[in-house]
Amino acid sequence: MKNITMAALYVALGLVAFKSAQAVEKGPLLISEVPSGQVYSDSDITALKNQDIEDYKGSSSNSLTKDYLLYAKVKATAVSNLTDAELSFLNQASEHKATAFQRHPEGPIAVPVFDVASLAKHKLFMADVNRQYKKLLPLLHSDPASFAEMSTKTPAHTQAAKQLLERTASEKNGAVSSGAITSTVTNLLVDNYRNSDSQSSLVLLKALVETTHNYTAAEAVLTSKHKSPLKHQLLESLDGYFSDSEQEALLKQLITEKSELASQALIKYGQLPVSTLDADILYRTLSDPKLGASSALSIARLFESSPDYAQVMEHLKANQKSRVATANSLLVLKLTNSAGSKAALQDILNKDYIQFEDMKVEVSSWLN
Amino acid sequence: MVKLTACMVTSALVFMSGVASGEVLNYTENSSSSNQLAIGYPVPTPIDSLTAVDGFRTYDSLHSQHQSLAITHAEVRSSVIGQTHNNRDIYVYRFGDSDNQTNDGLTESAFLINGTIHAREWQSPEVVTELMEQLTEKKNDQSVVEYLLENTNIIILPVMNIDGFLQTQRFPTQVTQSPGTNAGSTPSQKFAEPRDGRMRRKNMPNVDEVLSTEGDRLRGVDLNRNGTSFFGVQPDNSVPNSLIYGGASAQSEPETQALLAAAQLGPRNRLRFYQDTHSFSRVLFVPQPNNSQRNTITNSLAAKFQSTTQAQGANYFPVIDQVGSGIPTTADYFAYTDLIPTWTLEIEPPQGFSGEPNGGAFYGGTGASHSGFIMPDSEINRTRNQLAPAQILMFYHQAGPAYVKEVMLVDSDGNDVYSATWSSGATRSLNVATNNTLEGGESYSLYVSFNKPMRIRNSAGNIAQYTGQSVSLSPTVTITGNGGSGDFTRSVKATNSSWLNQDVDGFTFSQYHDDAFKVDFTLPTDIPVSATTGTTDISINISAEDLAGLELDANPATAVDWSGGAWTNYENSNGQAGINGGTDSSYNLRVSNQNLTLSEPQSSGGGGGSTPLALLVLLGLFGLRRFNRFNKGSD
Repeated sequence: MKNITMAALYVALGLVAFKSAQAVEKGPLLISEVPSGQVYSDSDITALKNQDIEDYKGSSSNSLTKDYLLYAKVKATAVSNLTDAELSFLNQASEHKATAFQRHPEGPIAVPVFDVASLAKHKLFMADVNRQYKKLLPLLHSDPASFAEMSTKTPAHTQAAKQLLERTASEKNGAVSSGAITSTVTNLLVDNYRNSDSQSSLVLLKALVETTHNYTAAEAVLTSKHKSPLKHQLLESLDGYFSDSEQEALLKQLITEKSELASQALIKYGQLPVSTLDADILYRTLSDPKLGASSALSIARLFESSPDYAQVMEHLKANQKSRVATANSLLVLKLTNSAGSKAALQDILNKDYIQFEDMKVEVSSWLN
Repeated sequence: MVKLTACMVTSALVFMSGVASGEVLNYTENSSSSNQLAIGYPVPTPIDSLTAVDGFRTYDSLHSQHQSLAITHAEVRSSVIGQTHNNRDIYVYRFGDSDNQTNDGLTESAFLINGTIHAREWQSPEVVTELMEQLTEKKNDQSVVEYLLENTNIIILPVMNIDGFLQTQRFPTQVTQSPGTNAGSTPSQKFAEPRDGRMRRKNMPNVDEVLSTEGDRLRGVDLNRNGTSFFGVQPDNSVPNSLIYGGASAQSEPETQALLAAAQLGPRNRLRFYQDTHSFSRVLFVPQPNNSQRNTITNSLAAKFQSTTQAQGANYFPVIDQVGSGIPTTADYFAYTDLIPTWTLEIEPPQGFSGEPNGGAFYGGTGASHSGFIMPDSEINRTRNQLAPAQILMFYHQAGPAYVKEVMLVDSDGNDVYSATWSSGATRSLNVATNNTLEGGESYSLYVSFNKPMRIRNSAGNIAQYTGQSVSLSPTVTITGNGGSGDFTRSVKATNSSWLNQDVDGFTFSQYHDDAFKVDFTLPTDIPVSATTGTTDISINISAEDLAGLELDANPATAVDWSGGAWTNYENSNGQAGINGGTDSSYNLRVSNQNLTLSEPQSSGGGGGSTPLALLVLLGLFGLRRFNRFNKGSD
């Protein structure tokens, strides 16, 4: 029985992992194609949800109520320690076809009111995450190498390992709290994940940064060869984990290497304390065709607290022949959007510092 | 009792003054509780980056990027076309050269793309910004984009509902509960119609930026119900707290006025296409005013948009409205008022497709209510790239059908035999500079150029279909005439490789890569001629579909334009104006065939003549000799 249960679970997980990106020839279901008895208004749906669910149980009901009750039952199913009956129920629910529809607010297509199947699939996935969590938990301290290997096996393993790491208290300043992972374990995990450099390992490296503030882990995420939203999210929250000088080093590296994070890194760089950042980097980058505009925004934000329009004007005058440098110097003043920056732009026009006619026209439009 | 009454009065006053607190709810990846809803993947938060990221950029970053494009590229100009309720400048960007004339001296056509009318639809500004970026990145492509920039006016309003969009970005994971619910309601009830914060849809008149303020969180006007066409047609359009409240009157909102101002930059009477960019559902909602020609063109255009996306693994399905029915959307407004192709583009995830999960479940999420508005960070980059080519093809199509600009025939010695060029302007004349008599059996090069790029190439440099399209890649050339006793037709074999993107034997493209072709041929010797003069008049007939499958304007003498919902002066092969083009047969030449001794030409139709057998043999020998000589000469 257990084997059958497991097989069913894996089938369900396969369904969860499936993400449809295939083009289909058939269009969406039109509201005119749905039997009128299965189409419901917003007020029908609101009235249903505002009733106590117990009122509906046991009574004969329409398709909206049936879908709602099924949805509510799936939602209420706890994923820890699923019984065979619950598993069977979720598997069945994961195949459910909606029978209650409402009209799309913008056009004549029919939209299912409750997505029972997707919620059931997610429940099955989370059930597997729970199971893997229990297997990974003892390994984290006793056999971290196996933990590292196992944690990237499937999406459920990775999710479980991530939860485990997030819940594990961090070691800080040498004081180890209950359940904390030691620096030895952390370093071993970081090494493993950095070497494997997969999408899954990025998830776990980021979790390690968040729990242990490990610099090497952050560096591994940010310089990974994979594109991933996690890199951008980590970069956005860097100041929560590292000192100003550590941030400065990481950001400078990303800017210098012109990675896909460079624009974001430049903006973050400008947010460092003035005592830490090297403003020359921002001004130098103004001449970069790809990153100059990011520098312009970074400098404009610096100007919110300490404007230095003269320096921008000097930069513009010194680079008058460069379209990119001129454009981005002007952009600094445009994005600063203060009385002082507007006066500086007017001064630039009056003194004819701009050599490109189209830019003169654009700047004039800014000032009108 | 006095205390209780005082307390109730105080509560009522607090509520009326709008400072009572609404319950703040959270979207999470996997946790659900009374005030949390799991969507099954990380909830995106906006990123500060001017360049595109795997995720969604902050409004400040997007705006800075737009401004950067405007100051850096001469082909982009920004304008402030109004202010939001909260006094933020609304910007529009015009893409094109600085004049309003096409290369041929016609007034440019214009297209309007609107983005972010609904605040919570974060896919919209990203997709529109990608289009803006590609138009500048490819501005020197010597192909489609360069053609568009030189011959059309593309107007893009990337973020119309700035106040609302900023509110969603201020609270990227938070919302307030459905109207009529409270802390004691079930999560299903509270999340059924989440409002404000990440799920704000409407604009922000008299709305503060504090999420928990109860008194104002339902306020705002649905800017996509504020149009004059069908204003108030839906019952909830007149309910101020409704998500689809249309406002006190049609076009009452400053953001709507800004959109109208953007359209004026076309100028309005040159508009030929409008798209309002929304999410989600992965469809096009296509309005159908009572104008059959306009609807035929629009629906064909929508099908081409769909096939472009299908070729890239998506399927933006056109959902065609019933004729004459609609709601007060901006797409309906421009469709009914301007009689141009319009639609509401609903970016993915899909919704309502059989066999495909809906909303966030499409990405493996829980399918929670409204999760389709929260696309995972990892999906937007692909989506941006899938939609840009489809939108560019729409512009290319609506710029108008191609026409022949120049026809030239050169003999094997390099001498011009025929040379004709159409003049510029709305009414054109064919200026024939050279028109010498051709000779049967002689070899010639035919060169034909058009007013727009007719083909593109793949990375290997070979002629290829525009993404997802299926047009006849080879041009078709025939020679027709009448030698005195009947019509004849001879085909000149042109192929894909006849198109020119570089110099070939002294012939090259005209203005854009592959806007011209050259084909070498030997004039058949079985052309019947007059027994009296030894010559016959012939026509060269040219047909070709452009990248979007539009046939040629068969009569370039009258320039194609758009009016009343359809093309004007767009003639087919029979010279009839309508919505289909055809074969251009404007090029009249004369052929002598002095090597033949036909007394009475017998040829008729397209298969060649019934010349006596002996003559055919002689002719064959003669042709063979000529062929050999030509080949030796070319060694």
